[in-house]
Amino acid sequence: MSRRSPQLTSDLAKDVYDISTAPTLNAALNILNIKYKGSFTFADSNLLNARTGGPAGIKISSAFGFVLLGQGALAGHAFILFRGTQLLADWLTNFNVAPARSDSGYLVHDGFNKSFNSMKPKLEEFRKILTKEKIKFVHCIGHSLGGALATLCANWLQNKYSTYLYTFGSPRVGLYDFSNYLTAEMTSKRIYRVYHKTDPVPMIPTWPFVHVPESGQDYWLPSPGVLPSPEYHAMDKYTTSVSTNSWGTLSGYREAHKDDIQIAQWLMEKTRATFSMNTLRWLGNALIYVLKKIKAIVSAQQITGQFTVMDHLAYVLAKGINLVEVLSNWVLLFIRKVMEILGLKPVEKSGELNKDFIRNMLSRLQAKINTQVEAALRYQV
Amino acid sequence: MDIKQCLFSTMTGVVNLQGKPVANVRLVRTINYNKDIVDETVTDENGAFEFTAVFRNNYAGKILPMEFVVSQLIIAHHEGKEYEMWAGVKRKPEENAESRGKPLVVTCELGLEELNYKGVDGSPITSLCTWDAEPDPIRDYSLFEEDNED
Repeated sequence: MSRRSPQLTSDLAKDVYDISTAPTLNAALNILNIKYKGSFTFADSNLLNARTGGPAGIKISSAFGFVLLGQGALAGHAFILFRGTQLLADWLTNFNVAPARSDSGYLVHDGFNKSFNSMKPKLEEFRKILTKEKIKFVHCIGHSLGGALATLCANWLQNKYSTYLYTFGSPRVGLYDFSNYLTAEMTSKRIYRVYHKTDPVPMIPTWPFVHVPESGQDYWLPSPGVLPSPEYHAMDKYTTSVSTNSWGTLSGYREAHKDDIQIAQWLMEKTRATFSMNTLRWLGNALIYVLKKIKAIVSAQQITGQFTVMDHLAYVLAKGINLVEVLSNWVLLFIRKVMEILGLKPVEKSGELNKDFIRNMLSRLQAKINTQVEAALRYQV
Repeated sequence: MDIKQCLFSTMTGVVNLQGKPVANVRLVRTINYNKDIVDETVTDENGAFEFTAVFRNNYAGKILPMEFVVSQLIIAHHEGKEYEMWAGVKRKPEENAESRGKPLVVTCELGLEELNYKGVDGSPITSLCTWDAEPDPIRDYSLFEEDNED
């Protein structure tokens, strides 16, 4: 294991904003050199060769962030840092787009993918540097939408380097197959997803997008209240919460994992579900539970990019209905919960379900969640 | 819901060269938060100057909460030379965050050979100035690296 500490990675996730915003090259170099005492150099040789001491505002980085090479004890390690950018925000709640194929072939959010692909030429240059510098370990780090880009970067590099992913308040990036694949490839020992309980950004995009890691450990930090609270999305709240704790300590904050038996019991519960963050967490777990059951039987489907993400999910669930009795019962229980949350009278029999009906219910639920999340985010600080 | 954010707090101070106040130093301030805001002033006969605070209203309606990251630059122009007198990144929207809530009063020395670096409550500032604000401690990250487990 060559994971880096919560303190170092969260400070880098914060400092990528500072360094890329610094008005002069001297100011940028000072942040790096004094704060980190020479542990890093910028990988961008253009940057290193840039005229120092000149007062003219120097564009010190590309739009996304930059790559640092570890020195001394960190030799052999590279750190690819991504900053959040407002430019991606509009895509988050727009679901009328087909998902796009990521570098691993699995489907991800088209907006993130486009944005990541636009960085590829620059990242390809860095990759040559990584080879030249004999880099063994690559740490992809990002906050907010930068976390989504770091995830795609890890997906891109993970079969070439020993790759670690650290995200803080990241939105969801890909569909279930993507998350499942990346989790299996990297294992949750190389994926550090940190989020505050009430940070609204990790709630979007809504399903069928699924977080990475799809299962195993993530790092859930307490924050006050039960309602979405945008101030707990700010990076300095993350550095404060993380403080000097180890990953082991942070993992202890996690609420107990909902295991399969608990999820099954929740799905079978007779009490009507109501709309709350807690219910949504249960429903998210239940969706993965049901999808896994279907995937165990249905062979990997060739889903083309022409489906919208909702079509994709409705298609897979409807497949489950048609295949085996035991599967159709789980899909029915899931859709009943969705209908309860929507305040509808749940259907009684799986025969009443088809792809269009499922799609309609999922879309209505998604619209409801988006309305709630957007309302919370409008009260930004 | 509009929230007032301070992009650069009111700064008063003196510009010195080799310890002596210098008059008629042209100071150009550039603030960037999505766009450039530029203004300037000149030191008086005592080397004194003042920049008044700049605020913006952060209007509601955006979908994502945005990181507060503001670039602050003051270039001093004196006898044909340019000096990076202040190059900071403001990371807290409160007024006087650059000096932990106290009025920001600086003493600047154009003759310094090296730029000073100071982190103040998460805002990193590189400058030719001194001011009353406890610097953030420099962390020793090497102590916090994880053990090489399995």
